Amino acid sequence: MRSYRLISTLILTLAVILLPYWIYLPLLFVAVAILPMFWEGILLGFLIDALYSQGISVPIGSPVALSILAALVILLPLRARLRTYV
Amino acid sequence: MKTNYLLKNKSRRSYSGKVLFLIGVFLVGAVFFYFLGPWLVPLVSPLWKTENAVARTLSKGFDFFRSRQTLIEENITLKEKVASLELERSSFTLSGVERQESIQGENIRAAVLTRPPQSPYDILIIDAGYKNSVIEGGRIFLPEGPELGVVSAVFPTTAKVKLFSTDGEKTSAVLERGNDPVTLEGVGGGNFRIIVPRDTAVEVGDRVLSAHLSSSLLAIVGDVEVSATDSFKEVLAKSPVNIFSVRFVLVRP
Repeated sequence: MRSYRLISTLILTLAVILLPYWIYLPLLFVAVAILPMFWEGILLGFLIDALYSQGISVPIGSPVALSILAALVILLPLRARLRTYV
Repeated sequence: MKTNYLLKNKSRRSYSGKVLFLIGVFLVGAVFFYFLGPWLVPLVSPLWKTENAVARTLSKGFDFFRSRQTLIEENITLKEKVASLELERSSFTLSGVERQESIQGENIRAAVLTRPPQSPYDILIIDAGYKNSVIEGGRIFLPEGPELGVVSAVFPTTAKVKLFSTDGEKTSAVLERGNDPVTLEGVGGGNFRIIVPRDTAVEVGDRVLSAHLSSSLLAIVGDVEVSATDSFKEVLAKSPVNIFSVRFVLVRP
């Protein structure tokens, strides 16, 4: 599982740097939904805003990072109630 | 003793613990990226330069396999585009010589490293920074004349450009038809919205110019929406250039 997380984070980082947002943003939210407690997603959200927001530094209330934090918090109780039989 | 039910308190505690952990990661990330921010774009820019170079090489490689018919069609389209641009240029508010001087004089030419849709906001990153005399607030033009935005952040060899079409960005402009001063509001993706009184004369295809003394083209009216009971009308305008394919810009410090 740890290697999955690492590989996902690396792929998403490259996607953020090189691919259009309509690829990396859905991928990021899919990773948040699939991987348990994907806190790295918050840092990737900050990376997106640090690279592409209008200022020099990332805004403290980074919209992408905040959305991912919200998604993670909402998904926490849902994940506890879900059972997958794969 | 064997229990066959969930311990409620434990579940709640673990949930709040996880939420606190996530908030902690958010706070640490906010501080970390706040200080890392100025270094990040210069750090990543070599990757973007490589990506652009590879994309150019690949597109040249694919050109070899294009059919003759496609090339003829493309040639015709490009000739039409050149003709329309020349026409557009000659009808600018400044005379041809003045315009040429204002475009070429003291401008810094820069290549665009990233553009929408790579950025979720209408932001360009260009390969000229304060080492090339680019300053914050510098105006950004296309080599053909239209104005695109302003420099919002400067790094040693790169800079961020906030386009006028950035969502919520308001720019003073003039509707050319009646010389009416308006506020051009960006709605993202190279699009704009203008709210004008119902009686204002505006038609599809009209030009929206910047409010500067040496006015330049900002947008072209694409649609006018007015409802029977409204005293205002909404003018939808678009950038004169496809912002998703801008390759070079001029920076006027």
